[in-house]
Amino acid sequence: MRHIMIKPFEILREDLGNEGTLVLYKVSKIKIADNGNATKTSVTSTIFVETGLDIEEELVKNLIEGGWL
Amino acid sequence: MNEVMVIKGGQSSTSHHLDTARGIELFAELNAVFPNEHIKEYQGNGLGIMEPYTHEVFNQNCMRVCIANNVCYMMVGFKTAAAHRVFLLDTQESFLITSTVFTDEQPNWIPTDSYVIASMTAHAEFRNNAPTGLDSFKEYILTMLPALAVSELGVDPINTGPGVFYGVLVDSDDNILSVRSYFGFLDSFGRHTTFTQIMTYLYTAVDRTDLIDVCISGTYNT
Repeated sequence: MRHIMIKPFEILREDLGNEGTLVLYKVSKIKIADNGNATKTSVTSTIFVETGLDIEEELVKNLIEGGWL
Repeated sequence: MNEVMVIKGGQSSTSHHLDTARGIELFAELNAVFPNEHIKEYQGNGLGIMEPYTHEVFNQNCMRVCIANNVCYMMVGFKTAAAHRVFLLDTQESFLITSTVFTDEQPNWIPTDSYVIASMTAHAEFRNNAPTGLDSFKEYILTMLPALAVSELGVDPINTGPGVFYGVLVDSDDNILSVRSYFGFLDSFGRHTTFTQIMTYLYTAVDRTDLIDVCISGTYNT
């Protein structure tokens, strides 16, 4: 259930450069223990997305590869 | 959490605590279609699972599972009075329902002398398949005298009574799609709660204690 957030990431800032966009984002996930207690962990990080690629798609792909989602 | 939901037309579904044998059995049925769901993530908070019923909008079997309000808050970022996940068994789709206390101006389509206490909104879940038409309907939870539920909503008298809430599903043009009767409310410890207790809980949570008196005055639900 920890993956069912409506949208687990938030794009905080986009800096457009010559070859792409540097994106500052916050990603969160929920961990539910066997006793039902829930904790939410959030991390802020950056990703560089080359021009022409979809920022959210690249971000999700990156988060999946990194084991966050 | 309500114990029983009866949909106008006769269909009914009973909710079972996820720590009971029947609740565990029902979750196993859900798991057969949604193998990535883990019962332990739902247990421990007094949560329940409803027996399968045919969803009035999507016209297919579904199961509804409660989510703790604090977990839902982490997901959506706002306080809820109740939260559920609905699992459509035939198409393996799911969505989240948030129930919030209704403090806006009362809608003009509701029967005179009825009162909307909460509304439910459906949300698509990240990376899970959501059914088409998720934003085509909304459920309002109304309270009213039993006689009014019979005359205005066409509810069978046997499915009305003190402490019964009525879920009215409407489309985007406020046409009524379905009417549900919700009976027998339990708190997170599995104890029966009264209409007054529910109202006090709901309105205190959103700092609108002024609305408690409106609802428990006897005008809307006795």
